[in-house]
Amino acid sequence: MKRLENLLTELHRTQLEKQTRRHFLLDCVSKMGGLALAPLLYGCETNQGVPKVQGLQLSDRDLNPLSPLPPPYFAKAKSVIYLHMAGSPSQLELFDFKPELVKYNNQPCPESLLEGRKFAFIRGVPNLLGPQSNFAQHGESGAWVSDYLPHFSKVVDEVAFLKAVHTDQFNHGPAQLFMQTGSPRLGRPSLGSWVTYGLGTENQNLPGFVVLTSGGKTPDAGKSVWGSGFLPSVYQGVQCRSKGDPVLYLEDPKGINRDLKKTLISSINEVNKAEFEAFGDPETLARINQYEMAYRMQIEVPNVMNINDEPEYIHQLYGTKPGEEAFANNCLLARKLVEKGVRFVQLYDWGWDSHGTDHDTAIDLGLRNKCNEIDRPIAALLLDLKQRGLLEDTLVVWGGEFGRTPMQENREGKTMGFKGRDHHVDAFTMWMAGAGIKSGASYGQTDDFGFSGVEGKVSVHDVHATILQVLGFDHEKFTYDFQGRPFRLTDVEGEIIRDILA
Amino acid sequence: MPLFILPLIGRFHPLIVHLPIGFILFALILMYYPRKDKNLLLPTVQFALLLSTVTAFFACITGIILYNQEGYAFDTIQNHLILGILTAVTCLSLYLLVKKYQSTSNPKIHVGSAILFLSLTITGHLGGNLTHGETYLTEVLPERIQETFGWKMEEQFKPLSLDGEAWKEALFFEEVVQPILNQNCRSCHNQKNNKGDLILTSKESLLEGGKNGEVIFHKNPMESELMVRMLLPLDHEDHMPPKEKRQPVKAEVELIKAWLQTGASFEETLGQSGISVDLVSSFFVKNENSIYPEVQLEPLEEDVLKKLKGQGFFIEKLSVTSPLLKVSTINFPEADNQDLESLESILAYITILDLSLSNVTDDVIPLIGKMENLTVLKLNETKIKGQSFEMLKGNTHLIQLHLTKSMVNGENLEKLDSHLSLQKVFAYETPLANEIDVEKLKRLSFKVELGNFKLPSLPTDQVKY
Repeated sequence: MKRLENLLTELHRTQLEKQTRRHFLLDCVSKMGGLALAPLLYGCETNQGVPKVQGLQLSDRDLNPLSPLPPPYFAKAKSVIYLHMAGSPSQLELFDFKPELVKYNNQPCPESLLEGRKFAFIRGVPNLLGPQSNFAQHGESGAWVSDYLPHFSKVVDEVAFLKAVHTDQFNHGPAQLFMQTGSPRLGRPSLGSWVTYGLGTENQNLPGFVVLTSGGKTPDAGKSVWGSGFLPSVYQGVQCRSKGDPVLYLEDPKGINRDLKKTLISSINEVNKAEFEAFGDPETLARINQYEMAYRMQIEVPNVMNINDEPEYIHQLYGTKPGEEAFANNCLLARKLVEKGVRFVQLYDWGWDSHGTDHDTAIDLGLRNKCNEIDRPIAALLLDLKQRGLLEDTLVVWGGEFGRTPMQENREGKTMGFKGRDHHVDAFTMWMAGAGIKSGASYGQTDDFGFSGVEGKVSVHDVHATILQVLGFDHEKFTYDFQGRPFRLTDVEGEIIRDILA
Repeated sequence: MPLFILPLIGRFHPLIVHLPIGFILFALILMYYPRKDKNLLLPTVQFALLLSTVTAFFACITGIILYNQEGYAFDTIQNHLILGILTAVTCLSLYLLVKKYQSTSNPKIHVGSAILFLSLTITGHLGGNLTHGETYLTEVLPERIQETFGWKMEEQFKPLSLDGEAWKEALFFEEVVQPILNQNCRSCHNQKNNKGDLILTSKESLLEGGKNGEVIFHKNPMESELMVRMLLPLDHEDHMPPKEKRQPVKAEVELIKAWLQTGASFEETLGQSGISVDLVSSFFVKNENSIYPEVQLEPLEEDVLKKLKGQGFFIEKLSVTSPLLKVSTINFPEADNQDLESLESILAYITILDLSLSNVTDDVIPLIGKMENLTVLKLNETKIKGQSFEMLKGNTHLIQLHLTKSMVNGENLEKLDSHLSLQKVFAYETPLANEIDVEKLKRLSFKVELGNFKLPSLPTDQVKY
């Protein structure tokens, strides 16, 4: 019965959306000027005299979809910084040390490993490719990290490695969607959207879910990787520009001051309230609230997104490049956002697809440059969060969408000019750090070639379940009703990786 | 044929089954009710049995359709299905026998009636279990009766936890191995549900083993079935617990291994077995799991919170079910000491207090000192100097104190020395961090994080490959 009721509510609201939109457009025929002005209008004071409609119970959430909610269980973390290396870095050059692979360098890959498998580009029988970096053990935990990441090596004791993550998608787009939304196909809400939907945001002047990109391109899967899927669109990630104004058109247009805008907004709100009284659609109230938030964001966003106010030694720590689009800048911004109470900060860095087709994607050349771009910033981020006490309630996650093959890529069956590795789904490395995580831990192991996991294998769903657990959710109970059935981030799978939890 | 026809017919099964139940019982009553002239009602009996047979077969057919359409697992309906068909066949045979002998008092007929009655009852009961759940009848009985017959719903077992100080005295089997088995194996290996005839609830049952013999090989403990099964690859058919069930954590398997390795003794303590502390340390009770105090507090009225929220405070419960609160001035940077006074009515509930960036001064410390359950206090970027920090000694649950970019100096921080619960103080970018007396800070009863981390410049930083 409950489900039927939910379905009816969904229908009712969808109908309302259509109805109000039609009426709005009808009104606009006579008030075309109003439509032209619409983008200029941003909110005003909060909740002055909420209009009431009889028989309709309104929660805080109806009035403000981003209002905070308590987690179902005590949470270890209140914020998440997710560092996604789009393109997928080679675990065999960074974290998964395979001395055996050195011995078999340039030997044909055993046929038994290739049987019944498909690769994105590898054809026939490729040769194995030994690690191109030099490994050493670091920290008290003795974690193996290569010389591609000299700064990160100093902070390994803060993180917990997952050495045998596996996925089932070997193309970037679907794999990124899988990693970020729990499904390789479009239409599901991203991790950040789920979390913002479940917990809301503490700072009412900032979005709850912020996305920052670097590396010159956005992820192959497009903006759906931070989309809200079937959740209300207010929970989608807010992409801030990494260069220039973080959010476009936030500044007042010339000749319009804030007082004038406030007057305009009061009038608009009156209209919206009348609209709500006529139709009783809570979306209208949400709209009033969003205008108000945008109005408040005008002040707060430029402040928090401006890294120029940070002292010089912080810039040095992160190795920022002011004025440029840089991963280092984004790391510093991520710390600032989390400090200000933003729930979920998602960083994408593009350029990790080391196929070896050219200099930039060579595993011993371009990959090293990419590592240089993230090495210091990530180490700095962990240290900066730590010294400010933010690591106590912030979870940091690092990973790509899949791993890379222990074999050298042989595109079209030919030997290639540069050393590269193809997409690999069977085993790759991710790490987590911060709140709720057992620092210095390492879970899972791969075989001698690093081809597949032999112990502690974890799936993408397991990673999601663990992140939700740290945030105080039971991933099996955290659902959203859509088209008549409850949906979960982890679908019908997901085991919490208790071995890396503190 | 439209697609919905079969599922629809299938769903009539629960209705149709009542026809043979009624007719069969009616036929049996007609057969055995007349005292003197046993064959008085013979034509009626024949007719009733015929009706029973027809409807029974119809019930079987609809039942099989239902099973095919609704995706029941064969395991769950197996007995009901077989007995249902048996009932229908017996019914048919009984009808034929009665017709053949033109009597109801033949011994063969008596046996047939008995089988029919039994199979009907059991089939009906199993069918009821399928629709209403196995505990439908038993769950209304008094608890004591349920326990006596072992009908009680699955018990919940706490995960293994050990005292970090006294772990050596813990009995290896009773306090370590058995709890691990309870957590991971018991749901399928208990008196009620004993898959593979193996019961893992006690020493005796464990020694008894299962269908395939013993599970602990005392001669060659490392090859014990109990452990070998757990160590098989997850995808292996014989892996235990089965792939789809909750898997034990590595440390749990290691402990079972260690127990077998040290002779699988049922009397030894952990200390006597001589295992290293590393094997058990991950099970030590940590306060980290819930750093928040366990208290019984009446949840606050919504109105009280609403008023404070209206004032500008961020207030949220720590979890849906907990009365404890997190209070912050994140959206209320102009908050000053006086604003804080209005929290008076909820002091006992405040567990996390974040006054970062607000206008509060040291005069607010006495008020904070009254928050008996305060666990995390954040005073980042405030004018707090800490002159009256000794008043925080009353906060006997305070674990974390965040003072980043505040005005606190070393002298004032020392006032917190030997605080009963305080574990960590964050003091990056404070006057205190600039004082050089690090040795003194190390002697304090809590850890002080001064930060100011640097990453050295490396020659490789600038290299372009």
